[in-house]
Amino acid sequence: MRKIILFLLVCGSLFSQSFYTLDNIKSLSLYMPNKVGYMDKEQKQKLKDSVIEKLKDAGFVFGKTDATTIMIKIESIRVNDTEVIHIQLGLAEEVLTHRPGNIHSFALTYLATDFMESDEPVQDTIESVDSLLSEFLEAYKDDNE
Amino acid sequence: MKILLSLLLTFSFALSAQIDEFASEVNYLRDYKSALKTAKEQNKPLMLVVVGDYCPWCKKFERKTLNSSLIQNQVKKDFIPIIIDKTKDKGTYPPEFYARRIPTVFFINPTTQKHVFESMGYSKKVTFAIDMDLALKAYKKEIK
Repeated sequence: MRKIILFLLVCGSLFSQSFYTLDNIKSLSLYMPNKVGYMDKEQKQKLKDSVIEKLKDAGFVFGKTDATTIMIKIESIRVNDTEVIHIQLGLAEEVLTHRPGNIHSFALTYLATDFMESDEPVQDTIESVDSLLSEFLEAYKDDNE
Repeated sequence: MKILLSLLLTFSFALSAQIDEFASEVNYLRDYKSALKTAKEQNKPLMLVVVGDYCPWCKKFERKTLNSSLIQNQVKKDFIPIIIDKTKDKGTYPPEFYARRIPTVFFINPTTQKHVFESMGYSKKVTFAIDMDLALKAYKKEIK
């Protein structure tokens, strides 16, 4: 039994969520550039609202000054009848680097991407954003437990 | 003179590598031979942490696992810890500990200089604490 528990613990740690460190992120501001042609204004707003709702449910606060920026960037190129979609979910914030001279820099402190060909781009985009967001929330939970 | 000394200190601090800063922060040794000598004197296993400055999992392992009070207390009690950079410190430690994957932690019997336990990859503090227990048991069994 002990060996099974140990095996599960080791497996869990080997597949830990992310090498980024997501401790103590409390407030966020959402930046969501989405200029794809296959989604109308209403669909884009609905997607944005659902992202904010999920993040709020996870305990993040919006509307504070100097919050960490969460970026969800959606891009696409149409090749014949297929839409090639690239989605990035990242965190960006001002950090203090280890360079000589106490240099601060605006840096990406989390990044996950998805790249796909799609015949149903609207549905696939929604699912991909949802999957990237879940991955981020799992990593956040993992680091803050 | 004081100004010159403090300038020199500041300059040398600015030049020191992040691995040196981390080692001094958590009281890990950086020299294999002196760590081996201390381990023999104190009759404790050597805990050799192999990392790389390009390795994000190593950084996370240092920050979240090795730096935690749970692990620091256990290390202080039972092990002689040393941290080395896999490539930059090559030649200063035995080739059998040139880890294939990093981070890797070798728990070494200082008398035989063979490892009694190996912990590979990023581990959370609780998992690593279990690894340390297993390593200590393996060491005690070997020296019986």
